[in-house]
Amino acid sequence: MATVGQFVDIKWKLGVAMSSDTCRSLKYPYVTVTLKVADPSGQITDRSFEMTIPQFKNFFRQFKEMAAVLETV
Amino acid sequence: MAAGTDPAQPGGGRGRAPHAHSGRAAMSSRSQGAPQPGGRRDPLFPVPGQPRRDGTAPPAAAEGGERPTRARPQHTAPPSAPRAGRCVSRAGRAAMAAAVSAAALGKAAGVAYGYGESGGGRGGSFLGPRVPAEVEAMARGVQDVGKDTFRRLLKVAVNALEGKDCKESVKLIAESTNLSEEQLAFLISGMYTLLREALRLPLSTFKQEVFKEDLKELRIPEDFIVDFSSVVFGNRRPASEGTALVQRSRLPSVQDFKWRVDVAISTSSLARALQPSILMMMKLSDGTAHRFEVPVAKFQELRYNVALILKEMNDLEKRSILKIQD
Repeated sequence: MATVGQFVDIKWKLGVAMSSDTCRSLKYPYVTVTLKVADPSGQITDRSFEMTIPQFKNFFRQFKEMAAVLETV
Repeated sequence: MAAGTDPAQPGGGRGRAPHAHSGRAAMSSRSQGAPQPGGRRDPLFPVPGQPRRDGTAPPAAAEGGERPTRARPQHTAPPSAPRAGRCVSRAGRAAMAAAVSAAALGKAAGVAYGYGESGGGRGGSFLGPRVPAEVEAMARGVQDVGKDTFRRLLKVAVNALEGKDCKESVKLIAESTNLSEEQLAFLISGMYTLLREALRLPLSTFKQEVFKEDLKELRIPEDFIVDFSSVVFGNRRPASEGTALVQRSRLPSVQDFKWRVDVAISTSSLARALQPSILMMMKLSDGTAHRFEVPVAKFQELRYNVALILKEMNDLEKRSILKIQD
C-alpha cells in the first residue's frame, strides 16, 4: 500500500480551557492528540487535533473495538 | 533607476537650472554646495535672470508662489496596470500594457532630473518633464471624442481610482461608440494616469490654475479641462484619497484574533502537568489562518512588546516627522 503513510508516534494531552476571548469562564475539558506520521515519500509531519470529551469517548471506543477484533484474528 | 544622478548629463539642460532656493543644490551630488549669494557669476549656478549656459530661457515663474523643489519619487507603473486593466478587455490590455510600460520608462528617466512637482513652463508640468506616453496619446485622441463619450470615459477612470470594478461600463461604452479597443485603451489609461498623478499632489501646493495651465499645454479641449478640474479639485476628491490610502502596497493584516487560556492537566509524558498555556488563532487578510500555542513566559514577552509598541507609536505621533507641511 504505497499511498498510505506510516504511523510513527502519538502524544496526547488532557486539558481544561479556562477562558477565551468570547467567554470569561469556560471550564471546558478537551483532549489534544498529536500524531507523528511519515507520508509515502518519507517526510515526517505532525498532525494535531482536538476532541471534546464525548468525541474522545467515541475515539476510545473505536480503539477498543479494533483491539477486540484483533484478538479474534 | 537611481534618483539623484549627476545632473551634468547631455540633453539635461533644463534639469540643470536650479531654482532660487537651495533645496535643489542640496539634492545635487556635486560638492559645490549652495548657489552663490550676492549675484556672483558662477557658470554652473546661474542666478535667475541671467542667460543660461546652454542658451535656453529660464522656465517662467508662472505661479505667484514659490515652487517646491522636492524630487519626484520613483513611480512604478505596475500598480496602475492591474487597476486600469480591470476596466479594459483583454485585447485592449496588451496595447495599454505597452503604453504603461513606455510610461514607466519615461518616468524613470524623468525622475533623474529631480524636477519640482507643480510648475508652469514647458515640460515642467505636474506630470514631470516627460509626459507619459498614454497621456499624450489620450490628449491627441480626445480631440475627436464627443462630450458625452468623454464624460462616460471620465466616469470609468474615476471609478477605477476609487477602486470599483468597471468592466461593465467599459463594455457598454465599447458597444455604443465606434471607438476601437486600442483607442479605448489609451483614452482610459491616459485619463487614469493623469488623474492619479494630479490626485497625488497635496492641495496646499497644487493649485487649480496650474493644473489647468498644464492641461492647456497638452492641448486638451477647454470643457474637458473643466471636467478634469472638477474631479481633482471638487468634492469627490476625498473618495479617491480614501481609496488611495487603503490600496497602497502592504503586507497582509490581521483580520481576526481569537485566544483561549488552557490548563494541561495530564499528558502522555507527564501525569500531573498542571501547566497553563495560551492557544491563539490569527486570521489574516490574505485568507490564511495561523494557530499556535504560547507558553506563559513567551506571553509575558509578547505583552511587554505590545506595551513597548504602543509607547513608541505614541512618541512618534509627537515627533516632527509627522508634521511635514508643504
